[in-house]
Order: sequence, then C-alpha cells, then structure tokens
Amino acid sequence: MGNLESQQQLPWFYRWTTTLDHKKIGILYLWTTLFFFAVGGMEAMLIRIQLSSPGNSLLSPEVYNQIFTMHGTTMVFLVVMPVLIGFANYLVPLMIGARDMAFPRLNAFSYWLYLLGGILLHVSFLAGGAPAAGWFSYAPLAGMGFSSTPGIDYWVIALLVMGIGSVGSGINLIVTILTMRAEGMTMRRVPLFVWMIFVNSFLIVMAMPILNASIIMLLVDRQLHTHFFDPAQGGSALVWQHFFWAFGHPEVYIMALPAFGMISEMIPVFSRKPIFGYTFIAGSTVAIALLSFGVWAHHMFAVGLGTHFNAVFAIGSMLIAVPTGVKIFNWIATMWGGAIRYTTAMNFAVAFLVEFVIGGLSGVMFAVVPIDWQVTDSYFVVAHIHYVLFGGTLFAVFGAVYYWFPKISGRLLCPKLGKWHFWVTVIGFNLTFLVQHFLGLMGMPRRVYTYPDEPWWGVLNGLSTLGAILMFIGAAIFFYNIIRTLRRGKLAGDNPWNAWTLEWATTSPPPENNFERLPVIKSRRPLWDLKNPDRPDWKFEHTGPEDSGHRGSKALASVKLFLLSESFFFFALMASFVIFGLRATGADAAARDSLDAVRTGIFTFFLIASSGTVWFAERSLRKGKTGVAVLGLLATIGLGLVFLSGQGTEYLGLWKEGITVDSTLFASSFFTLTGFHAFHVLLGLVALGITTVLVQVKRKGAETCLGAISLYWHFVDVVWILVFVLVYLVK
Amino acid sequence: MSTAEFLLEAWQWTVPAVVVIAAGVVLLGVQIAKKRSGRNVSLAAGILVLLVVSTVSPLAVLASGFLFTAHMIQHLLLLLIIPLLLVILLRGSRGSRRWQRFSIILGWGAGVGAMWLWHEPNLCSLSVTSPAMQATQIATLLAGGYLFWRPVWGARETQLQPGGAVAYLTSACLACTLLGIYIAFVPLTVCPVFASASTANPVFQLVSDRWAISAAADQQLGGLMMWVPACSIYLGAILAQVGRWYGSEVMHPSRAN
Repeated sequence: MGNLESQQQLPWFYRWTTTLDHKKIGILYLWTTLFFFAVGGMEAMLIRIQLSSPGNSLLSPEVYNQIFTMHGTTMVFLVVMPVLIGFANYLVPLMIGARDMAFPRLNAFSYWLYLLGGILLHVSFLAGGAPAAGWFSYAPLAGMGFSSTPGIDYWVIALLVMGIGSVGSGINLIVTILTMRAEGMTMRRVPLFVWMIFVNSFLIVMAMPILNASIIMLLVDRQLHTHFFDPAQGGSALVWQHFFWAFGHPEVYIMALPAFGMISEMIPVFSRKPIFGYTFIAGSTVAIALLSFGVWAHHMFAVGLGTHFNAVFAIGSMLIAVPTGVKIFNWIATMWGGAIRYTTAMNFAVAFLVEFVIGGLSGVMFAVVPIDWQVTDSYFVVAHIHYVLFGGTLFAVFGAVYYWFPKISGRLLCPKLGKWHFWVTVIGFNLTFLVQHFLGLMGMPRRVYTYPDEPWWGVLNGLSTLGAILMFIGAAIFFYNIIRTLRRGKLAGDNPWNAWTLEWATTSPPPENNFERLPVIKSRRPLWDLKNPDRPDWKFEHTGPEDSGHRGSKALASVKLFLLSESFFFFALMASFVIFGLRATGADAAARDSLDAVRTGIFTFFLIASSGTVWFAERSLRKGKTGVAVLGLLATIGLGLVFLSGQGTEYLGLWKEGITVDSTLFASSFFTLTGFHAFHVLLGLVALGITTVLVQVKRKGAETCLGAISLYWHFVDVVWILVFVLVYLVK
Repeated sequence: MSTAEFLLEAWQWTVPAVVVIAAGVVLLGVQIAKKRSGRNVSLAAGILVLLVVSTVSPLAVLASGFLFTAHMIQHLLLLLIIPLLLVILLRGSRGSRRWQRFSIILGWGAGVGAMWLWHEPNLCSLSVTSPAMQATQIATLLAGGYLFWRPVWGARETQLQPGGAVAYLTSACLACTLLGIYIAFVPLTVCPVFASASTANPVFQLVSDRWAISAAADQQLGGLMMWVPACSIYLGAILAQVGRWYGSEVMHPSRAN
C-alpha cells in the first residue's frame, strides 16, 4: 500500500491479486459474488426444471439432494453475505470520509479466505459428491453414518474458512467505523448504511463463532469418531439444531440489516427528502440485533421442545417483528409527499418494501406455533425464505448495484435495460414463489426430489418453473447490462443522483486515496449543506455535540472485538461440556473422577501468575525499562510453557488409561474444550515470542503490540479459570 | 382450593416481609418529605405495591416452595424492577467520579452475582425453608439490584456514558441468558425444595392438579422467565440508553462522542 507508484506499473493480474485498496477488494467481492450468484442460480434452475412436472426423473434423488444443499449454501454463504460485505468494503470508508479500512491486509485476507472457501465447497463435486444434508446439515443425517462421502467435510471446512474471514471483516468494519471517521463525522451523523453495517458487524463477530464451534464438533464427530450429535451413541441431534440456529437466526439479520441500510440510503435520495426517523431506525436496529440472539428456537417448534418453550419463543419472535415492521413505515413516510424519481434503483427499493412485507407477514405467521406445525417443511417455508432473502435482501442489492455502479465504474447502467431487468425479475419472482405458498398449504413437502400428481400440483409447479425461467432471463439482462455499460455506458459524473453522503463528494471512480478534499461535516447530509448554504441541515436538526476528534486506538479496539468473538466460541464449547460432560455416568463418571484437580490447580496457578508477569512487563515498558520488560515477557512465556507441559502430562496420563477423544462423550467434550484452550495458549506463546523480539529491538509500536497481546493473555487466563471450575471443581 | 380462593386467602405477613416493607415505608417517607412531587409519590407507591406483591401476596406464597416460576418472578421484581424504580427515585447529584470505575465493577458484580448466587441448589432451597435465609435473600437481591442500576441511572456525575451503559447492560443480559438457558435445559433439579413439596398441601394440589404444572415443566418455565422476560428488561434499558445518546445535548467534554 505504501508504494502506490509501483502498484500502478504492475500487470493487471498482479495489481488485483496483491491489492490492499478497499475499493479494489470490494470490487473483487462483487465480481466473485456475481459469479457464485450465477452458479447458485443454475442450481436453482435445475431444481425448478426437475420439479416442473410430477414424477420427473431428470435428477436422481441423490443428485437432487446435492443440488438443493449447494443452492442454499451457495446463496447464503457465497452470495448474500459476501455481497453485503463487499458493498460495505467499498462504501464504508468512502461514506465516513476515510482513506481506507482500518486494517487493509486483514481486509485482503478476509476476501481471499472467502474465495478459498467457495472453491473448497465446489471441489466436493469432484471429490466424491457434494454435501447433501441441506444448508443446515442437520444431525444425524450429516454424520458419517448417513453421509459417508466427503461432501459434508468440505462443507465444514469451507464454512470454517469463510467464517474466520467473516469475523475478520466484522472486526475490520467496526474498527474502521470507530476510528477512521473524518473530522466532524460523529457516530450520530454516520449514514444509516454505515450504522447498519456497524450493528451488523457485531452480529457477525458474535454469531459466526457459534457456528464455527458447532461445525468443529461436527467435523470431530466425522473424522475423530466422537458422538456429539449422534443420538444412537448418547449424543444429541437436538443440540446441533440449538447450536446451528443460535447462529442461524442472527444470520437471518446479518443478511437483512445491510439491506435495510441500502434502502435507507436510496429512498431519501430518490424522494428528495431526508430519512424520516433516523433515530428510530438506528436505535431499533440495536434492539433487533439483540433480540435476534434470543429467538432461535422458533426454527424448532416442530421438534417437541414443550409448550412453555414454544409459547415464550413465539412471543419473542412476534416482538422482533415490531421494530422491523415500524421501519417499513419509516421508509413509506420518507417517500410520503416527496418528489419521487423512479430510477431503476428506486424501482427495486419500492419493490423491496412490497416483497419484504409479504415475507415478513408469513414470518409472523410462523411465530404462531400451530401454523408453524401445519406448514413446517412444506413449500410455504420455501416461499417465505425467498420473499425475505430474494424479494428482500437481493432486491435491495439489485437497487444498490444500480445506485452505486456509477460511483464504482464511472458509468451509468442503462436505465432501459434496467427497467426490463426490473419488471421481468419482479414478475418472475412473484410467479415463482407466490404459488409456492399455495403448494405449501396443500401439503407439498420441501427437499423431496419429486412429487405425486395431486390436483393442481403439476399446474402450480409448472407456473413456478415458468417464473424461474423469467427470473433467469432477468438475470441475463442484468449481466448484459453490466458488461455493456462497462464497455460503452454513459459517463456518470461525480454525483449523478444529486445525493448527499460523502461517497458522492469524490470523483467516479474515486482516486486511490479516495478524496482530494472533504467537505465540512456538520450534519448527516454534508453535500446538502454544501449545496444549500442558506438552509443547511445543522441549522434545523440537532445531531449531538460537536466532534471531539477523539477516535481511540485501532489495536485495542480490534483485540477487544476479537476477544468478544472468542468468548462466544468458548461459550459454545463450554455449553457442550455442560451438556455432554456434566451428565457423565458409568465409564464417563470414572474418567471424570480420575482427573486430578489438585495437580491441575497447581498448573492453573502458574498460568494465573503469568497474567501478573505480562502486566508487569507492560508497566515496565511504559516506564521505559526495556530490559525489565523483556525479562517479564520471558517469564510469562516460561510460565505458559509450564502450564502447557502440565496439560500435556495430563493428556498422556489419560491416554495411558485408554481415555481418548473418541472413547466417551465426556472425553470428547473434555478434549475439545481443553484442547482448544491449549491451542489458544500456544498461539499466545508464539505472539508473546514475537512481541519479546519487538520489544528487545525497540521497534516502534512495540508498546501497543504488548498492550494488545497482554489483553489476549488475560483473556486466555480468565477462560481457563472458568474451564477449570467447570471441568475440575463442579461435581 | 380454587384459584379464586387461593388469590383471596393466600397472603402471608411473614416477619422478613413485614420488616422489609416497614423499612421501605420509612425510607420512602423520608425521601418524599425531602422532595415532594407527583412523580416521586407515584414511584414510591409503585415500589411499595411491588414489594407487597413480591413478599406478601399469593405470588410469594407460591414462591415459598410450590411454584419455581413464581420464585423466579419474585427474583425479577426484587432484583431488576424494584431497585430500578428506587434508583430513579433516589437519584441525586451526590456521587464522586473518583469511585466511578469501582462502582461500575461493583455494580455489575453485585447485580449478576446476586442473580447467580441464589440458584446454587442448596442456597435456593434454604432461601425457601429458612426465614433468616429468606430475609437475607430479599436484602441481597434488593441491594445487588440497587448497586447494579446505580451506574446506569444514578447520579449524573457518575453515570456511565451511553455506549458504556449499553455494553454494561448487554453483558448482564448475556449472563442472565446463560443462567436462564442453564435452568431451562439442565436435567438436574436447580431448587430441590420445589420438587419435594408436600403432596397433601392444598397449594401444591392447586399447582399440580388444577393448573397441571409438573415439577419439570415448572423448572423449564422458571428458566425461561430468567431468560426472555429478564432480558426484555435489560433490552428496554438499552434502548433507553440509545435514546439518551441520540437526545443528548452536552456531555462530559473529556469523554464526548
């Protein structure tokens, strides 16, 4: 990054693969998601062609299972999530007046992990069959007993790789928004898209580790022959569902919140009015984010959790609909009385409102437990999820492409082709999925490769397939429009829509350093203020105190967020220990009793002492005593090694007694929990070693580095204290 | 015994309850004498009514060994709602910034600690069977709750900034959720005294026969109380903090934004 001149001279391939520029990385995300959108779309077409008539035998059941699994996984993890992260990558720094993301290298790393994950997932086709247990990989279907091809293993590894990348993106975006804002851009003035990404990134940071922990357990089940999720061996398939949906429901909002942000940018600009109720939209998003962690069991009404569970979760699910529903009124009120311009972007934004309300209404219907029982696992659910994710999120994304394409490429997408794309897609979409509501109510089950010739089933499925073909044509027009515009589209100029946020204050496309000069920021619409000096927003609307200029430390913010994420990872592992380890009976109980709490307690003391030494090292370095600091660090490493050797002896002892990870459920949860903790200690030791060298050679920034690593080290110690109490002391 | 009879008859003026309420009347009376306003009077009245509900009313009778869910609702009232009203009522300008950090750590620890402490099976049973432990429980819950809410809604000088308050409340909500999930799902009996109530007791018969709530279902429901309604209280407080943040005109210059 430091050497822009030499970057320019590289051949294009190297320029794009080595780039650290948030705009180029954003564009890479967008192209990659467009590619996977085509792949997932082809899979959808195969599904619809197979289902176009009753008793069709184009796809075998095995292939059909693979195709719908890959369609779901691709669309969720390779299209919707990364396209939103891609837009955030491109737009957030521009919207807050920053030069780049807080951590450009981490940013590039996240993208390449995403691409690697996407490739790994598809390699499974060549390696003996794609995953075929649905995008949620329910146990025990996803276990070795029922899925013996490596498909699920590829699914796990791909999701793990992408999950790590997503957490990196989430941390990066939060730190960027917190620390990189231009002067005057207070947190109360950021565009709503930025605010949504801010809240959304917290969801990513907290929800992804729950998925990561559970898929690790699934992988351990499959590869090391443990039985976490295998009911036949004492495990619990239900626990997989709890874990998956504890991630899966926040995931729904991870895929929706940025779309709300896009809509909140487009509707005001094309209605020529400021957004109605900025504070409500921003504040209620926080409520949605928190509530989203407490309603996951509504995905599980049909598994028999009991009346009380269902009732409480039904109420929670209805509650979360309230702040979401009121937002619709915010957007309508913004349009009310405005001078509306129906550009293609605005068309998609308005269509979003309509389709998302339909999807939301069927969502509220599911919150009513008896309705859920009636239509669960039917095409009604398929209709619902597509109204939310396609009619909702993807319509917002289409709108966003038309809205921001001129900024990204410098050229306006052809409005005529845009109108064709819009109408063909809207008609095709509603034709495809509206009829699926009726099919669901008639009892047509989802995830089955064909269906009998019941009255109307053939006709309605035929219509649905016809709709899918229209959507396919719509997508083809969209692709063509992009290619054509890139070659000879109309030049856009800096601000073709006469918009008000900062990304329009620079050239299209923006220069490498984003802005030559920033306008004064005193309100939520700096470009409005610039153009209307006689009636600027800040004269009429109060947006909190003036900017203090304080931005905080990038290093500390990022390490705190990382630890937040890690604590959710350990929450999940500890939960699995509580579930599987504490109820130990028979051989399990004997294994538990053979743990030596006193000996481990002594090693625990060494680890806690190392927290003291690292604190001492930090204090010494602040006082300028480099030599003492290095000694403190070396002592910390020594104490950490003593702790690890203690754990090594314990493992060895257990192994000699014949207790290994696959012997009992207690052993599985014990080794997984303590093993991952030991792994974290090990990583900490490596980082401490590097820090020691940095401190020794008096490298600039060593103090910040030590501050960050010492926080991490304290965290590892606190986790161990919890683990020690849980594993060795609780009986 | 029918439900209506129960609601009319089951009012128990136990010694700990009477002491707590009398103390409440005196304390609130003094406070109102100092600063008399319609708001203060209604806050004080609300506190007294909720104190009576949680320590004397049929809810308290159910909570004394018959319905674990009622026990949890009692906890929510004593730990979260009454102290919140109390903090708002007693809100003054006293408060030293020197102790701010300490009061935050103490508040979080006391609030979350009081909540977790009384679900240790032995303590939970004792708090029902022994009057002394019952009094201790009421006192610690009220005190823990008071210390917990003070950094959020206490004196302006020592109040947490909205961002910090959101983190403070979210982490408490999480701790509460974990406890709720644990109680709802764990196959063990969290509060054994509720599983061993005398079957001859008319209140037990009311709960198990007329209302048809089994001990296992009761514990589930109790855990769910700790989980969803409790978190809704924290969530409401979080939203109020976000509202305060957007509405704020001036903040401490050193920590603004």
